[in-house]
Amino acid sequence: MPIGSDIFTSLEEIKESQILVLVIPDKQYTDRLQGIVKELSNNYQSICYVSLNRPYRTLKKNFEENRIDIGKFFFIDAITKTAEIPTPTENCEFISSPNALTELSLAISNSLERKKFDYILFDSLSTLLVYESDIVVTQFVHFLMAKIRVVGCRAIFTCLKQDLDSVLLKDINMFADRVIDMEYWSPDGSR
Amino acid sequence: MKEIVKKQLDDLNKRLESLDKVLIIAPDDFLVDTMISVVRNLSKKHYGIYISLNKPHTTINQILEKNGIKTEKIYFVDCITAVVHKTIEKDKTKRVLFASHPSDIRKGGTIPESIDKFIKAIPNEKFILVDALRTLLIHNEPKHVSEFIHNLARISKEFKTKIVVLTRKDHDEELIERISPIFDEVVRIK
Repeated sequence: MPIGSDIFTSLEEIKESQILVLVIPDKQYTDRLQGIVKELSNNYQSICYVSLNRPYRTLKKNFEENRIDIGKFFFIDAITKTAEIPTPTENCEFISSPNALTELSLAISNSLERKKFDYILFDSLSTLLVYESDIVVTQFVHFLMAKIRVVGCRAIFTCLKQDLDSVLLKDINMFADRVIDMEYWSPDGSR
Repeated sequence: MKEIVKKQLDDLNKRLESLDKVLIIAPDDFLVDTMISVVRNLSKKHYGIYISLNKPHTTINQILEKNGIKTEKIYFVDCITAVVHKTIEKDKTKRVLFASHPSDIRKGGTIPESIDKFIKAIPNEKFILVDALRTLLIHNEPKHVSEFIHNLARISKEFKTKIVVLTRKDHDEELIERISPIFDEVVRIK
């Protein structure tokens, strides 16, 4: 079982959270994320995967290798267009780059209004911080989280542990339901 | 909630009745607990005008109800829903006014106008709670936030309304220092 699994089935408090921010140590990031994706696909029917780190093609290959049902996912890919002109794909919307926040915001908002998602997985807040200042990212995430609440969706935002002390993370604690440091999290609730 | 935080909140609640204007600075992970504790205490005797900047009023209402707080006497100025939702469903309870944006805090703006409407409509003893000063500063210039807080202080005096402003610690110390004299007490939850 990949680490990161069982996150929804273990702690009632986490299950009840509409918006979670998961802080993941750099070295565990890929495994944890994969565990979360697997857990989402096992428990929910419709997931929107916002990827600011890996292109759709890589994600698709990874899903196939790990027998994750890609049919349950709709992708918003902010990476592919930075390197090539993407082939139009039914279950993916391509954004010009991770710092095109207006475009990204519109793509997510339109998707939320067109489709009924059980979950949004946002990978990751740390990537936004590479391109924009704390304050710009905080404003963007504040409105995005509010939008998710208003449409009744749920969301997981990921963030690298190195950003734990950033202004963004401290501000986001006001807008999210829980910020969880995954380094010390375990399915039985012990820390 | 940590025992030490609970004790500080209990102490604060004992003093709150005698204070007109309070700024509460809490660690980011205890801000919601602080808000719940204050609203639970004040809503026993007062009507409340909750300026919801962090989350939509529906979420705040759920949080309060989940914590056993009766919300019939809590009125909301929702400063976030209208930004993200094209069509706002009409609030049947008549306890909500929607401001256009968290930055609409200047004179004549939808946030002060909404506060004014509720202040005039509720004849009973009441409190205004702002969650949170930090969020106002994410969306506004400090001088405009300062003016907004000064205006709340005027309302407090004119309409005998209690003002509680929440914010998270570790930020905005310069502004906090500047507006501190407005408040009867600045409480730091550690």
